[in-house]
Amino acid sequence: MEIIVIGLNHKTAPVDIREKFSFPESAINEALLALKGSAEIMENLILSTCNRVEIYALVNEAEAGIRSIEEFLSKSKKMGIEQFRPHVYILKGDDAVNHLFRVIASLDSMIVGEPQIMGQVKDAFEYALNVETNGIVFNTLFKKAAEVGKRARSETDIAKNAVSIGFAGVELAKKIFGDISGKTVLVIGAGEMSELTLKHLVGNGVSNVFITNRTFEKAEELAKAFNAKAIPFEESFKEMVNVDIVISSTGAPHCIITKDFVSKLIKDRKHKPIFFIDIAVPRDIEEEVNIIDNVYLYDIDDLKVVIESNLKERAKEIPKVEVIIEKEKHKFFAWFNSLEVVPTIVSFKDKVEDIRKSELEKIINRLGSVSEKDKDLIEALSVGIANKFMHLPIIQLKKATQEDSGYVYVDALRYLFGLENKE
Amino acid sequence: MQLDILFFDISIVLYLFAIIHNFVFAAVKKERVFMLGFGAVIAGFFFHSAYIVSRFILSGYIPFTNLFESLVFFAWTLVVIYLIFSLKYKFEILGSFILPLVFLCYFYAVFLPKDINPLSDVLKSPWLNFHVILSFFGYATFALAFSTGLMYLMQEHYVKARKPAPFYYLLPPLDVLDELNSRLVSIGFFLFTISITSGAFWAHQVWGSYWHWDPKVIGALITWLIYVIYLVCRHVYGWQGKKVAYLSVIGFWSAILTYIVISFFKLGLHIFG
Repeated sequence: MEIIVIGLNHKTAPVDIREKFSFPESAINEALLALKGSAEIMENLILSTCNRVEIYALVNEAEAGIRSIEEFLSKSKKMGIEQFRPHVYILKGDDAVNHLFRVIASLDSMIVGEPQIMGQVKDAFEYALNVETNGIVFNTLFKKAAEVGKRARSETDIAKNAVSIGFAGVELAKKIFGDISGKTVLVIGAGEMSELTLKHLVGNGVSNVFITNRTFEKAEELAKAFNAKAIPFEESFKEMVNVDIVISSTGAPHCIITKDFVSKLIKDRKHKPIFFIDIAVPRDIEEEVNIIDNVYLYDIDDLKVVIESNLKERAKEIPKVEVIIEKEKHKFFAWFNSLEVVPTIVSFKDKVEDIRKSELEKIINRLGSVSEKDKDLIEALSVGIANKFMHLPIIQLKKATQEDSGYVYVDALRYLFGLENKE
Repeated sequence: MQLDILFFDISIVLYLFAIIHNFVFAAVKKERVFMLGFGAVIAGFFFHSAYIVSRFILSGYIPFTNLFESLVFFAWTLVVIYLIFSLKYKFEILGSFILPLVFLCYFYAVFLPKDINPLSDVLKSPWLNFHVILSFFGYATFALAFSTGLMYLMQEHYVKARKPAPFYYLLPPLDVLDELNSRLVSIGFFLFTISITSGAFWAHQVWGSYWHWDPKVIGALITWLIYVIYLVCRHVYGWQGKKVAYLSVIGFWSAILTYIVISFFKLGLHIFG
């Protein structure tokens, strides 16, 4: 019995192959059931996102299982096995579980630390649950995986530090102002990027928002969406005396905010810090503005540099996540390996034998003087009961094993009789 | 070996352990490393305090009347202020700035004679404890203001450079540093002003005049004036950020310089022991 994964992702396959292999929501149930129909496969799950398509399966024997999944893929995607093989990775046992844990911890993602993959794996599990292609192994495995994902994000800084333009702007604002709730924002130019950045700022508690635009109607439109105040373009320059953060993204061909203007502005502001985010190309704000004390200016390229650096900070956390993965993997396999039938039968027999012996000893002690012959008789009685008691469960267990459902009974037996998992 | 010196030596080891852990924390950002370091500070502080108490019992006066004693006592006030601050704010990187100052005091003190001298007649005054303790706590508060000023200047540099350096991620936001700097200077200034005033009254009682052309007094006055400039710039002219951060750094340097020059050349009336 082995866990395998066959998959392709953004590193191994170009987008056209990924598209071809992806399973839309509508096709997933059918695919899951088709896989379950294979004699080799006991449990299966399909993880299909825009960056990866992976089929996880619990199989009797790895090679046969891999073959049947490959055949399934070939048939359903109408492509020869040899054709897609260069794009596909196949992992077994320890490696497969390791891979799953890395995926959910986002170490395998395009952007390390991204949060979506947690939800995507959860959804994939729900699909399997709906058509019952999961079983006790995947229930345990994917519960563990969710734990790994959570621990990676809460116990390390893997998901800390912004990696999007909008969020990088927010983080910088926090580095300058500390708490940004109660700060005032002015948005010049109602574009898509400024809207995105504004959304992050408002999400982080910024309460007062002014929006201006050459065409006033557009400003009003955006203002409505954010419960903000639209102001005429000319007035916005006066308003800068009171705002803390300025997001500029006009289509102007040259700078609209100059160093001279800001030098005067900062005096009118009584040196209160102001943060300019210039996301326009070409830029709206003169580069030299940044030289003035208490004035901070970031343009789109600067934000990209910050993101680059943040990604490196996240990468530094990878070893910490790997330690978590290693530990959880160890725990999982301690349980998984205990699902083997033969050792379970042995420990079942040991357990019963222990009970028999200790009870026998107790009764002999209580009887006091017993003849050897009686002792033998009592002993024979205990052996008889124990063997009769164990006979049917063991036979049934062996039979179930031949029918691929053995591990389910093994798990139940271990649970009911409190048989310890070996580490 | 005297008990007080034994306590002192134990605190050296613990503070060293604490410094190393604070630096390692700054490099690897592991909470556990910081907690180990912080635990060591508290343990070190315990023995540091035990030194002061046992020395007090041995000599009969609070130990700050010779160079060795005053350095170790100053280090103690630094740790007191640092611990109070750490209880109030989660400000882990502060240890990497304050503990080296503690270490410098210790490093100097280790090489100095540690004898207990009898108190000279001038110092046998109720003014002594009041004057000295206040000034030490004033200096220690300025030291903390200096650290936050330094952090502000570093962080401002990183934010302006628009290239995040490792410290960028560890240092608190600019506004927070600016605010702390302002508060610390105000508290330090308050303590320091009372200390100077009490010194003047004491001098009047002993020598009959409030003012003496004593190098330490002049140095202290210069330091005091720098902080006056700081407060005026901030509260009258509304300066904030970089320029006042520089002033808080300069103010503390002035205090340190006064101390070093006077102890090194053994100048004036403030020479003890």
